[in-house]
Amino acid sequence: MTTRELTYVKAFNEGMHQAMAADPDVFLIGEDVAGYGGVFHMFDGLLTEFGEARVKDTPIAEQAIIGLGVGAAARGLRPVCDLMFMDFIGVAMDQIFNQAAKMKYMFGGAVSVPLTITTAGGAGMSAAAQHSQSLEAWLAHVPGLKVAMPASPYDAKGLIVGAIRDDNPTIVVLNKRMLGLKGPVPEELYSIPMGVANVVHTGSDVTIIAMGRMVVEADKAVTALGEQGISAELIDPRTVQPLDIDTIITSVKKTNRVLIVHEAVEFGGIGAEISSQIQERVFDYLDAPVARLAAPFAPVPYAPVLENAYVPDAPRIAAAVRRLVERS
Amino acid sequence: MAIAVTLPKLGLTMEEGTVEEWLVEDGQLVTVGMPLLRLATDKIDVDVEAEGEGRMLRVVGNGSTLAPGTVLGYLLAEGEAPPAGVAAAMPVQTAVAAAMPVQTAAEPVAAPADATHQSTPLVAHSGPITVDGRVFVSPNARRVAAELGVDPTLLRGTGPNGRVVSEDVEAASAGQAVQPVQAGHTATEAPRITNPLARRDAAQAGIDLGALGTPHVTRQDVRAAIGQQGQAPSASASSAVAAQPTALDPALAGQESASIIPLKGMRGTIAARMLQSLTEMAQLTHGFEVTMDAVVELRNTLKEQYRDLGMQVPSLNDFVVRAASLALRRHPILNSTIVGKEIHVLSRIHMGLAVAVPGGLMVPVIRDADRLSLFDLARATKEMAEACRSGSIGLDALEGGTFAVTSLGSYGVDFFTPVINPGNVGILGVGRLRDSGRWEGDRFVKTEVLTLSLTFDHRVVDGAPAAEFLQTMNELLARPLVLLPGA
Repeated sequence: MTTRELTYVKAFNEGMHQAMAADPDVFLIGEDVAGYGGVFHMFDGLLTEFGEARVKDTPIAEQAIIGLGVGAAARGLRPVCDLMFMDFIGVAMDQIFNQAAKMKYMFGGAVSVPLTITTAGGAGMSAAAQHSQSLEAWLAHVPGLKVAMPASPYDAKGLIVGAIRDDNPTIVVLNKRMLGLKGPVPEELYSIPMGVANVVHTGSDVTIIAMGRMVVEADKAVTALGEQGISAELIDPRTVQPLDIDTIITSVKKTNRVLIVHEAVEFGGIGAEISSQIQERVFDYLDAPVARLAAPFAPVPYAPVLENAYVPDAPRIAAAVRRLVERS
Repeated sequence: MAIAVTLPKLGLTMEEGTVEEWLVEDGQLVTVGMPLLRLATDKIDVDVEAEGEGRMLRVVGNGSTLAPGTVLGYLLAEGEAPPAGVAAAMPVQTAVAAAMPVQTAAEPVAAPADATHQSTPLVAHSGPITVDGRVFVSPNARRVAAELGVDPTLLRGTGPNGRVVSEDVEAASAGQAVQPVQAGHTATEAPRITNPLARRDAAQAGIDLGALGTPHVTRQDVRAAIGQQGQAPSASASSAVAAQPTALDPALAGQESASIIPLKGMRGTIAARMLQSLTEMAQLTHGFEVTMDAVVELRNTLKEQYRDLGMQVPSLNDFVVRAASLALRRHPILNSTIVGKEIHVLSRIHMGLAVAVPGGLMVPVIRDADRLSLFDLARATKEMAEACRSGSIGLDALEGGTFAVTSLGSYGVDFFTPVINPGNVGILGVGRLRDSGRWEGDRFVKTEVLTLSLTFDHRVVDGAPAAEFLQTMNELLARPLVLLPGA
């Protein structure tokens, strides 16, 4: 297998090209996805390669985009519907959680909805409160939906292909701040299934569970902590729904201490769910309360200084770990 | 109400400080403003003074390296018990606390303090920590304790809030930790490490912490053990300093040391940073003679006109520092720093000034020095130097320099090789103002010159650009009116 360095957005783009080439049932619709290649260039070159029948620009009408996708998916195609900024998902929410998520259940399994929704979330671009949110917890709360959060170029490609091949509605949340991040990506088509966590680092003193861009920050923190003699294990769940709790539990039983990091608001975030599952399953293996590090309960600030203070970063992750492991 | 004595945060980047020495005894009556302990940071040493009055209760020992905000001790009112959960280093509670583990430290037990107790005060750390009458044991520690057959409520917890964690149980099971002992027996204790850095140093050097023979292992203990092992210095310059031989070279054995100066505090910092500088950088020095006639003439004029007004005339050195600040604007590569595999050219010029103080030197930093007028710069320099010599300088004022100037001119030195402060890529040495002469056509004229010694890091700056910086200095010093205004 030939592997080379690609950026996150190029890796995603390559996954789209290869998935569409491999399966004629896959098509793409969304705002500015065809002629412009997507505002983040996620879809560059698809129109040229696959033509207007499979790559469609739409008006600014999120509900219609998803509605079309649900219908097409129910009829057997594999649509990829782009919602550009995750913050716009509210407009299309009824189609997502009442239609896409429910059809298979309400039709007794006679229909499946292999719909993929792509969108970009996350702060750190000074894009202000309506263009910076991390709303994965909303989606993960709805039975019937799957939610992937690629945290590396490798995963950006593997998870978009995995989402397209999955027979259920799946939302792939890219992170805007990671678009230029480089990493090794195999040339060949490959797919990462939903619900398989990635153990980014193995360690023995503490488990850090991080999602999306926080994986990158936690990765830096793990290096810094290593220099201080603290061995941290870093787990990226990759998909928050379904959640690979078994990998997390195995790690916690080994390290006895846990920190969960996400960019979304702490209250009611995925961290709360993971924390609860950990204490339900391995309470007797904990040497410290499960710790969380996430955004405060406030909209994402526009001012860069405030935004930096709002989103967790490597130094704060390292500090939180030190608080967990410190002994007198 | 007990007054907590905490480790002060003296600067924005201060992450730890070391209790060099307690200056008051346990139980001593303390009044407001009395120095309680000597605190060492990587930049300065300060005395921490009492903010209230009461009887001293020390909770950490000499040599503890701790984070800012950590409680170091309490000032207790007459007859007041220590706060709940605090294990006093007070001898009166030692063996009794160990023998009666459920006794909380908040209820001091009246017991005669005999000589045995006095000599082993650290045994007080062996009792369990109770809060509201409970010993907190983590779920994992309870599980491990059940497996190993240890009663975790008899152990002293080392986790947050004094919680017993699984490591405490494992240590107890391995026979290292304090088990409840019969009264009269002396307890031994497992090493308790204040700081992960100590653990890392020990791991790197292959030191067995349990063999150090001290119940409270600090980084200094580990360094001392490394020194005793005679091991090769580790990568960090500070431990390299600490890892010097601990015995006199046999060739010097007949010698009696006239005095012994510990390599710690400011001396230790200078030793570590200078060694770090010379091991990590490719340093070399240009000597360059600059003509000072115009500066001398301007200073003479200023002296004459300011004399009756009592106004301060900027020193020669002030002119040179001002010229260097402006020259850095034109040669920004000298105002840079190396980050990993990148040279980061810095946008702001923060000038470090070497100031000799008794026992060493300090490098206070004048922020945005290039924006100050010559007179503001002179005033700031004077204030900084006085603050250094009086010891009132804050840690923040010693951080963040991007270049430095050091002068030995007043000692008669012409040329020298200054050593770059780690993190910078250059330092300018200023020599003695001296008479010289030069030919103007057929005429030999008297002139005044001094030698500048520019040390630069060849990884970043090459010889020619460094020389161009010095030429700019010469041009600026030849036109000193340019140096007067700020911004």
